[in-house]
Amino acid sequence: MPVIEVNNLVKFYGKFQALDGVDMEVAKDEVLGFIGPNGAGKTTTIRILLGLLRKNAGTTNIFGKDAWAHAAELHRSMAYVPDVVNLWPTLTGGEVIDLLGKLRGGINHKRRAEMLNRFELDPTKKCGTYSRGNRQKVALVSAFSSDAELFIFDEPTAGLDPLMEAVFNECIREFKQMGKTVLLSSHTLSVVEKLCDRVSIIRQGKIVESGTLDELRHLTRTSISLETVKPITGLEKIEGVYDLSVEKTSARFQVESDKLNNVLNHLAQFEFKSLVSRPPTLQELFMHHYGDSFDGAEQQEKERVS
Amino acid sequence: MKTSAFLGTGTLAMLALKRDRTRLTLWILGVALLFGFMVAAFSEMLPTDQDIIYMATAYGANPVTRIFLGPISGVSLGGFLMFRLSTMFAVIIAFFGILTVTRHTRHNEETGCEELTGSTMVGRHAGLLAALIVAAAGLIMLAVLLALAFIVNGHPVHGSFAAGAALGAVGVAFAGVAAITSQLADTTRGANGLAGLAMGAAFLVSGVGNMLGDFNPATITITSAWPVWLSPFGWYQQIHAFYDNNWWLILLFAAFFVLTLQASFALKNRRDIGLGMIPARKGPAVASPALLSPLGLAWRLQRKLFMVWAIAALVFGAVLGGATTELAERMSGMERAEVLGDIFDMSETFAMALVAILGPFVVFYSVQAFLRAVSEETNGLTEPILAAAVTRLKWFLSHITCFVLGTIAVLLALGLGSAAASIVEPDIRVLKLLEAAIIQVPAILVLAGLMIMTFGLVPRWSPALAWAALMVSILVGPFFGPALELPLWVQNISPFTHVPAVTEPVSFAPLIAMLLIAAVLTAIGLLSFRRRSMLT
Repeated sequence: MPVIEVNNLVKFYGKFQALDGVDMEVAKDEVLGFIGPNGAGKTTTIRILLGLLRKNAGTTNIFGKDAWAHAAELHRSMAYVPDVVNLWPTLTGGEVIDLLGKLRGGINHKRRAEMLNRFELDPTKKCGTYSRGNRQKVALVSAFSSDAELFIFDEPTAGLDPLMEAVFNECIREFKQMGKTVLLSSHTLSVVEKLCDRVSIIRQGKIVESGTLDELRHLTRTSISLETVKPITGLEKIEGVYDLSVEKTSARFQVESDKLNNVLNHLAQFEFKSLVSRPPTLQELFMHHYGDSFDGAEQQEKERVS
Repeated sequence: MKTSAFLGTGTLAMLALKRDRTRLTLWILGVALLFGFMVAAFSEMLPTDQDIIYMATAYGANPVTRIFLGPISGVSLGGFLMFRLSTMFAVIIAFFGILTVTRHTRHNEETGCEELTGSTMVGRHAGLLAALIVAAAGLIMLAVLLALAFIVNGHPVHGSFAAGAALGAVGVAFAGVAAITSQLADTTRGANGLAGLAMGAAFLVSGVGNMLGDFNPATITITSAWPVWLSPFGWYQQIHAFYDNNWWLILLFAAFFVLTLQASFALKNRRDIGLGMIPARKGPAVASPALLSPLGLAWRLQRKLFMVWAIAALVFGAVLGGATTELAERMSGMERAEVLGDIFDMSETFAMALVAILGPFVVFYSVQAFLRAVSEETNGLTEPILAAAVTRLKWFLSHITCFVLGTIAVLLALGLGSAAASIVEPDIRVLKLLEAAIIQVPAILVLAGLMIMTFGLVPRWSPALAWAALMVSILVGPFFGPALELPLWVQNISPFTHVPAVTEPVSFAPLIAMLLIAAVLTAIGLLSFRRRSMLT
């Protein structure tokens, strides 16, 4: 049984359709990266999963139970860190960590101390005086000190410095080892790339792509740059080659992954001196599915190359 | 140096005006229209001097009502209106001054807007001065409209402008007070609270001054005692609009305003942006077990507001209760019979009447406490609670428990405070006064139920509806409804109309009916809250 199971989820805000049939599955001890541009519906999906928003249609099950009807009960085994962390200005960080831990059903005191240490957070300060990053640390420490089975993070590293981001990455890996399930929504694609087993890309309220990074890579282009002994010719006539720039014995281009074999067969006649092939980054995958802007990015890329 | 501190004041004032155009218009027109309506209603009701003398004697001879009304000087309809109506409007106008200033000073710091404007070509004191300019401009406009409200009802022009200026000046004085409290407190709520406390104290002082003064039934004048000179509420009353129109007292207001201005600039120079005068202290690293539940959190968030109100109720009750009972002692049997019919023991009846008048105002606390719960949602602070293993019902009921029990406790504090005089006055029975306080509870609960229902059904409108319900229930209630000779069905809209009179034996039927209505409204609110999406 999947930990999170979302089928055909639809949500309207008045006349505006925020979600248009979202499907998603997260299996036990899996880390799913949930990515998409601003306003695509990531936070709406998460808030429905938490039972904070009502859905208009579809099913949202967590541990096999409906996320709205059983919200409070399910939250005993869930920990959530929102994208904008609001805290009570008159309570200290330590008090908030204890409060949220207790309301979730319990707190692991040993881990609380350890996490305060790792995230270098002073728990005696009033929340009103914390910076944005520190408020985020309060929410993170509170989540990581719980014995939850499912962790949901919405942009968890947006306010953290690179050192703290590394601590966060470490924690996620440890929790994955412990068999926990993680749903990680983020714009920081490098984080998603490092941590996630699978990725779901949402766009305009629909999941446009879903799978492991390897699977997704097959759907896009590989970047290649090479040098040969003999001058390169005829490359422009091969199907599936883009952004080509040739200068006698060197060439740079992108190629659709399933056309890679054809291209290399053709190039072999010119005798390779060196060849570098780079799989598409998540950034490129993301751009690919981000439709309109993708053309813009491609244009930029061309200008940079030529 | 001096001028550069005020650089950009004009631009910021225009910005504030632009942000607030709807809000200011609604406030100013709303207050002016309400005032005009009341002036017209009273003018129609009191066609002859005989009517005025009769009414003025009924109110003026009673020391309890003198606390809540202004002084009167001679027989004129305008003078009577200033006596009967002006105190309530002075309080509303003072609130307007306070809220306008804190909104454009401390609130801008809280949201970080001042940091942004402060990074541009804007002087250190520009924001503060701009806020005061906007508040003062609004109040001057309001003063003119209030004067017009008198004039269109056929009152003397000179007196009308004196009356308008007097009321506007109170607002300006408290705008100045708010400029200071905005520097002292580090939150908007705190700044409003401190200024509100100052206003309560000022009201108390002038009320005591009027009560301890003398009423002369021959000339229909109240000569106030010296404490009125300590309070801006006393100053505006001593202008005696429609009688001797003491315009020079406006200078007293001007001096006070300049003083508050200088003080607030001096304070602002001494502190860092975003902080108050009192540096933030560190707190416990570990939560106490009492905090660790939705109820514990709700209590923690409402605690300070409750404490302030409970203490204020005790003090108000004790000061006013003590003074009235002492006065009752001094009165001769004749005077007593004239005032209340001499059926009950005077001291106790006075104290009970006081509780009956003050009781409905505790609903201000209920609204404020309720709005704490509302602001939890708008500030995104219900999200972390509901994302933990807490049901919506549990979260909301925790806040409801706190503000309902808080309301009852504040009412009891009022009763206890008024009973403080019983130490020297054995005729006063503490239980009787607590009873006078506790019979107000069902009426306030009806309003609480209404607020809970709006929060479930139309959360975005809930704060506005809560304040509207409060205003209506007080305006058509016992303090104004009968005096305005409103139709009975209109008076019946206010739950306070159904509270049994303190001078009669308690009848339980209306109290039980109100409790049932409150329960139904609450149930509707809770059920719809469970079903709706959260706003943040």
